[in-house]
Amino acid sequence: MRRLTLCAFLLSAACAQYPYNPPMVAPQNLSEGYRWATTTIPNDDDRLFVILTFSGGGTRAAGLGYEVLQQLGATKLADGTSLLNHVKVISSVSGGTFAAMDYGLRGEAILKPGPDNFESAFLTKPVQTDLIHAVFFNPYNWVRLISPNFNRIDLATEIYQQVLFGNNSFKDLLAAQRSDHRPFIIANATELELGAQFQWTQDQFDPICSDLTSIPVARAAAASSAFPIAFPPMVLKNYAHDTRCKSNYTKPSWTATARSDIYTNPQRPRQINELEGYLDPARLYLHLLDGGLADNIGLRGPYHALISGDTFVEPTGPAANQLTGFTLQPLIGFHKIERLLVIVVNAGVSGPVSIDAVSKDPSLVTVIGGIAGAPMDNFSFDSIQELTDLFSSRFGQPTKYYPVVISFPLLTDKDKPVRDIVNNIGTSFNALTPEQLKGLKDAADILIHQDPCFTQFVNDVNGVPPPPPQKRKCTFGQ
Amino acid sequence: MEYIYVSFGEKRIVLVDGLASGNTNDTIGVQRGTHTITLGGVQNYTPPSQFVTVINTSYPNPMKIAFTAH
Repeated sequence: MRRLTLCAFLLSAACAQYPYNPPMVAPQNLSEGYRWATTTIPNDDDRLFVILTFSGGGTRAAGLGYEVLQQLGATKLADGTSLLNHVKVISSVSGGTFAAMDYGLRGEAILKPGPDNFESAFLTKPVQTDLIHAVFFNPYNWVRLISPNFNRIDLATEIYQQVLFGNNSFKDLLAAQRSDHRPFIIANATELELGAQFQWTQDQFDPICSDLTSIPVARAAAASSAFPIAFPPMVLKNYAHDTRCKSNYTKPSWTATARSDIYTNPQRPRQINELEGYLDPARLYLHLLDGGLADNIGLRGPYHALISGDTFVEPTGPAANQLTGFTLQPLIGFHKIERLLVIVVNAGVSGPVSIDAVSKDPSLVTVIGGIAGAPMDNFSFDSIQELTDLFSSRFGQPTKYYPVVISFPLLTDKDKPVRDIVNNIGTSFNALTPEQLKGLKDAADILIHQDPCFTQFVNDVNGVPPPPPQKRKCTFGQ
Repeated sequence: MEYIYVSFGEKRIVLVDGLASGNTNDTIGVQRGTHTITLGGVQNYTPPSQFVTVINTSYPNPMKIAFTAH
């Protein structure tokens, strides 16, 4: 009997399957689901509008994002609010998604001492060890992983649920946004075959006729941080041509004309190709990997929203009160945003010389890391350049624009001790040591205070900046 | 980034490819490329829509697009 029970147990484990994303079984409706149009933000007081982007980079990125949130919470405005209260959008990638998503769910509780504190709930937890243990040292998982429909990224989802997100779904994320006017969190992954950024919002799920509402947010964090080779792609089902699909989704009207812009603005036909890729009857599944492959600083989505009204959904409703995809064109065009601050939080490092220090051929892993990392870094640099160029071109307009870049290479030689600490934090999900936590806190502190555009913004809104960084004390002579 | 200035006898919402993007008699930012411009509210204007390619404009020198009442 015991043997029979064991066999049944193993059989069920070997048939493990992570549930696919569900189909959309109702007509498309822009007033439902986790999307820009259902948040309170388009109708909130948007005079001060802050966008944050959190890069990838494991717990180093999660920790830096968390410390920037702390800094914004400590930046007080004349009306008694903090700058954190004016953060409307957080677009995140990989490690940064953990801080962004947790803030979206629990708000300022993650910044304060207590059970929800992000530092104790995640940054100091050995998540990487948990992942390795689950894959290599848990016999039950060995059997589950034999199943073709259950893989390491599904296991990672379960661990992220256990450690941080629980069973919270996108329904809970939307409810938290609406009840507390929290930011719109955009977790970014990359669709492998299309090479396209994939945002975990209902606007992105509409073309694949899937309902995001009940999906755990841990799923988005797992896809966003599914670093190639370490993790297999996350598979989503595309219901665009499935009989279970009851959505009446159609391509938005801008696609009818934008194809002719191949020479004037090739981004537009490219976006049509991407959208049509999701609608291709041959594409029955999507394969999602780390968001860093398409955009490692999470800036691309907000940048597009700043320059374009083209989204995957057709605006609906009366002109005076439209429901739209994620675009800031209406808020800017109707002068609802007076000051717009974009803070790019980039946890990329400028590490010490290693490959070039010796003549020996680097290992295959090092070469693969270089192949993946170099384009990502170059693209991140270009994205920031595009943002600053855009803001420069908008001088003299009614909305005032402020770009801020928080990035470790901006730490000067004066701050070498801090720079050395943060540069040596890996990009895994290992627990951060107290020294590393302090290094990230100090780095955020220094970088925020030294940024001229952040200072200018705080001055222009009559705010009080966060308390200055504590002067480092000499620890000798005791 | 490109700019259009849509003139009309009264204040109306300007729709760019169906998206409410600003008001008439004001400068509105649009993405470089081809767009269909219409007005919100009563359809008492002409032409019913304008199909324009917006390129090489600036905030001080937007593309001028005129609608008239009929």
